[in-house]
Amino acid sequence: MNDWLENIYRDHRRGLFGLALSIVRESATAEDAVHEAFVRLAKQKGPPDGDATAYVYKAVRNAALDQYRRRKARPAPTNNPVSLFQTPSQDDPGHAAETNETQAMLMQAIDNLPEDEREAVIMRSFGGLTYQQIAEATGRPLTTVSSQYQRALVKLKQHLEAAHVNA
Amino acid sequence: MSTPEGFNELENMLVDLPVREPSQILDARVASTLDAAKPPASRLPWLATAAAILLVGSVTVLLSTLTSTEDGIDLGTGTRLEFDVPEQSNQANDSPTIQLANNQPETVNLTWSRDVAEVVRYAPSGRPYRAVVEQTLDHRIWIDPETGTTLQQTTPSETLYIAEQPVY
Repeated sequence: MNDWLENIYRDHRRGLFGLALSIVRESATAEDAVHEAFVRLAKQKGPPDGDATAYVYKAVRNAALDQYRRRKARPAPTNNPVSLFQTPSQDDPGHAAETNETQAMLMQAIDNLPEDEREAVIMRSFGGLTYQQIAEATGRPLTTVSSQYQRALVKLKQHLEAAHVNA
Repeated sequence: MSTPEGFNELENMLVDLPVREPSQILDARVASTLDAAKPPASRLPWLATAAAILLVGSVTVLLSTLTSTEDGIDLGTGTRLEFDVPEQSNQANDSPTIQLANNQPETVNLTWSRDVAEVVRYAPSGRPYRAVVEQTLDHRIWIDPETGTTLQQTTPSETLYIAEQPVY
């Protein structure tokens, strides 16, 4: 009965978690949001009529926004927002070598994008969603989603070019 | 609506970025949630298979009981059902009658059981615990020594044990 959910989680776990993390900026809270969304989805009798993948992204996004609002009602967390990306650690020199300078700049630039543009990049690049699916998941018009994604790309490219000029 | 010119290389770089992975704990929580939402029957395919095997075995035993003059029947699972069939019994009737030693209705109980450890689940408080399901098939055979009539009953059952998991 939940095969469709199992398949979507298996194929999109990184994208779904990344989307939640980009909203709540805390790993544990992001995981709670993803789990909460799947608890709600598992109660349904079957897949939705429309695009199931976009539907699951929408559920996770809503759960993350709920978590974010709940957390805002509590005292501010003391730790810094978590990056969407794995940071190279000294314990893992292989990983550090893989993460080159350009990637590091790109990761920082994505973390600093406005939320709507960052969401579009995450769902498009890390989740492999189409503009149409992103539009369904976020409830924004298709043209808006396309503009946000392309605006994000322009900003990221300018950030990289500026960094190379200064280097 | 495609990617604007000159951004393909940037998009390829984005795909290659080391995005933070969800933990295995989240994988287990989601798997547990989806598994719990499944109907019980789909979680116990072995039970249906075992019940079907028993049913076939029961029919075989029944037919063998009615037609066989041998002093025992192999149930096909390594178990042999032994009868004490006196010679005069077969001689007195055209159809064979199973005569047990004490001349009383006899019962044979066969029980199969196994323990299945399920994935870690989470209580509303957030504490992890592990559920272990003991699945049992109880198969009973009653045999009337005078008529040879055999009555068989198969009862599947499940017992759920819940143990708190230590948090490391």
